[in-house]
Amino acid sequence: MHELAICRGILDVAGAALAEHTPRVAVSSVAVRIGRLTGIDPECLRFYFDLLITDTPLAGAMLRIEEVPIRGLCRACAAEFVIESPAFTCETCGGSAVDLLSGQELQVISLETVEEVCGGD
Amino acid sequence: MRNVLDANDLIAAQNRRDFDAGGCCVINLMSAPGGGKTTLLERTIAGVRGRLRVGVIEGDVQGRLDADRLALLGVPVAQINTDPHFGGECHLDARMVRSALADFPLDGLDLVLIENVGNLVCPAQFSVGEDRKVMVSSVAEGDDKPLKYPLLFRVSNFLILNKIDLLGHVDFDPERFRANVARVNADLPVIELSAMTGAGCMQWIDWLLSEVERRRSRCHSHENGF
Repeated sequence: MHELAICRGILDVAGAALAEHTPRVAVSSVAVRIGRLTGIDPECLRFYFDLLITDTPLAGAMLRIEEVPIRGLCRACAAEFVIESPAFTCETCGGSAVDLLSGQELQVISLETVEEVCGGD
Repeated sequence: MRNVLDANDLIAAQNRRDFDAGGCCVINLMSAPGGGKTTLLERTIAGVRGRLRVGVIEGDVQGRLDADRLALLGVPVAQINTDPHFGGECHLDARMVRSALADFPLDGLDLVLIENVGNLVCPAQFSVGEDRKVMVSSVAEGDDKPLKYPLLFRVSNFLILNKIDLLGHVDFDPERFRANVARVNADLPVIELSAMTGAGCMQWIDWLLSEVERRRSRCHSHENGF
């Protein structure tokens, strides 16, 4: 539902990174990391991305999406596990007090150009 | 690596500084459309009258229906319409709230209640500079919602189960609801009330008073250099 707003955020970050780079280079792809708990639909995000980059310095770029699983850490037994079901229950001890280690990411990782302009973690 | 919402969070921090300077406790109130946020606000404003100075920031896609309702209660109300000013967005973000602050009398207020656009998905993602995120879920929506919209239940600090006057008329089991809440956020406090009848609302008012007090003592500690 909020893919349009998130896509605008991605383009803001990518556009700012590109603007810092002179001379101007063409961008072949923008890599993003999206946690599954964010509820972002990757196909919907791609749809907006392709639409919004038209006639911008990012035109022609591809959106590369790395989906990050929801990982939980059980407070009771310290088990780490990937959460696939809607409930965040520990699969080892059944405890429901679970801290989240990942799954809420919304990050621009890198822009791929002839040379990299915004790279690394 | 940069966070996609850095720009939003930067503006949220600016809002936060303004709220702090005004000494306001700020609550971001979120629910599905028709969850009862506006009725709860009416009940809340009446409930804290004479004890807290309250202001409301109303978020809606269109229109001033809610703002006009609340203005009748004699409190400052700012209306944000996401359409046409903010692309018809389905949530409030920090920039939209910031746009409402220019003419808003923060200095004279203890509590600012921000009514987000009715939606269980998008508001979860956008901080607006609030102290606390409060979610309203109503019995008419069903007891399975925590498992369907886990992020909002996960990021909220306080949960109100509203419309308990409808229990018995709808298929809703409060115990199953609480169990489902615990399965996505074991730390989330839950209270039950009916904004329509007023049943259970004292608990909510008490929580708000304690939050305002907690905020005051924090500011006081800062002033004393702790």
